[in-house]
Amino acid sequence: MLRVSELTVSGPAGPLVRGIGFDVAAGERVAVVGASGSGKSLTAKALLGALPAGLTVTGGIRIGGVEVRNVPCDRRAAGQRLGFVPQDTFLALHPLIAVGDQVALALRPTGEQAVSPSGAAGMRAASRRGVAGEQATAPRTTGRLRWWGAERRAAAGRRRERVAELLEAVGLPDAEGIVGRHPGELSGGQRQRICLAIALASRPPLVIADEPTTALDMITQDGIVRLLRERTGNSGDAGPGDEGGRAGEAGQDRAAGRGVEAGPGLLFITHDLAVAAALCERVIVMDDGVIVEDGAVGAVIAGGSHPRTRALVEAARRASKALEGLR
Amino acid sequence: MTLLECRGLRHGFGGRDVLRGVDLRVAEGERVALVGRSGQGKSTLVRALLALETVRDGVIECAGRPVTPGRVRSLRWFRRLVQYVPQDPASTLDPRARVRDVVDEPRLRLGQGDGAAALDLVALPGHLADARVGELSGGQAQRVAIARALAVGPRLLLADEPVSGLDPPLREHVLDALRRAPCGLLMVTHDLSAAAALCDRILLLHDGRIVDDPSHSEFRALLDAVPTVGPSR
Repeated sequence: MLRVSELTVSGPAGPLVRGIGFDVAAGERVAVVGASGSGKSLTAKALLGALPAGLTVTGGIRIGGVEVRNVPCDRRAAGQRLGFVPQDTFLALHPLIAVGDQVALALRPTGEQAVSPSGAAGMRAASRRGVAGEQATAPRTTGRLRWWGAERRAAAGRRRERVAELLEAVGLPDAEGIVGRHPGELSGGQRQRICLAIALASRPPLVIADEPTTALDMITQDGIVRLLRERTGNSGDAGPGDEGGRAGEAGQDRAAGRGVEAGPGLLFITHDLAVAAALCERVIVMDDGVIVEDGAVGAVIAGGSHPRTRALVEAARRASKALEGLR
Repeated sequence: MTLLECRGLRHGFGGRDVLRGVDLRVAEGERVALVGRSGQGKSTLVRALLALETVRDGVIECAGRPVTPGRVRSLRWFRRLVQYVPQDPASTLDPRARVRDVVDEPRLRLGQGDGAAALDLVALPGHLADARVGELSGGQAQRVAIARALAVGPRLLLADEPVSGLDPPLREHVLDALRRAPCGLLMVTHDLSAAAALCDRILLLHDGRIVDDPSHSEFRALLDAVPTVGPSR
């Protein structure tokens, strides 16, 4: 689904990401871990088509077989647009726009509304059909306006329904109570759920989450990790870190054949190997702009040989060991 | 001997009390962690303890003297005893200033301490003393913030999420710097393993009050939510 080959991101001082390559299969959950400055976030921005000005990209980024390198995110076709969940939700969400409207905005450019043309373009299309006489019962101007108004109301209704669906999918079932609120009125966990709803709105093939749990407390972090496990990946299962095999809500629905579609793939950027292990099947370790390890999470933790991998694993083990006295 | 203490502290915003009768005592040289979910008032409590908030009710005392918000000059004695380490040094330190000047500034204002010794304590490479703050990594900047606080020679550091957002190696450097600090510590954190590794006591702020009971259900819930990596085989 995603194929990255010989990807290099360069700044004025030289290359920052140096010729990396990896694939992500449809519905696969992959963690990218590494120290600060290792190139994780720059890689994500290159994939999203959202690199800061002044950086150049070479190499290949193919999504669904289509080359999208140097195609900005807002010019990509719906199938090549990736979802994005940021670390800092205060920066990502507009403080003065109600969160329901921000989720609805994410629906617009994806063709979600294209099933029934609305707005000025829809009216022009209706007008053209009338003038050309393509419809035997072409409405007169007043009739066309009525038809356009009804279409707009129906589209708005569908949009509201879809926003409510998305909010429920990210664990905010009280859509009526949430949609009119502004980001500052929500907790960090609720804002992160809104960002995930926005990321999922366009039904992307892959969601990139850039340290989405770093600023959250442990219980909220756990809720977001469970949510990502439920809403991404092919299986919707409990994930590799859940020994009890506790299936998520979406996983249960899929298993019961209740029509829940397969989730998008996930590229989860983090420096926390324990969170990566709880969520993803595979891990890529980056250091100084290159990939130094790529494999199944368990194998990399148990047998990763690169010094950077060992340092991350040992640090995660020391952190885990420190907790033993409290348990 | 108790260095910093608050009794019956109540404070909030709008009509809602976030702190609902907080009693807290930190002894001289003691390292205490304060954990809890977001929104429970941990950072508000730190601001209150630093005399940056006028609380609705309650008493704060440091070394037996009452602490209340007031003019800078009237709080100098308190700033010499208690210093603050912020969560995000990038937004609190001037990125254009040189490290040496940043560390020296509070020492010069308060008329006591040793900036060079503080830089040694946090193990910042010597050549970085002349670097500008904006040129440092996150972990280096956090160590500068700790050195700035230690330069005054305080008896207690109040640190608000000092390792949040740092990658594991940087996090361990910062924890080492805090461990070497020759004074007490009150650290607000989400990071239970950092609290366990560094502190003598872990307190929970829950429902606006301090809970000093490791078997409390909220504490167990926080602990159960921490993902871990198993030992090597």
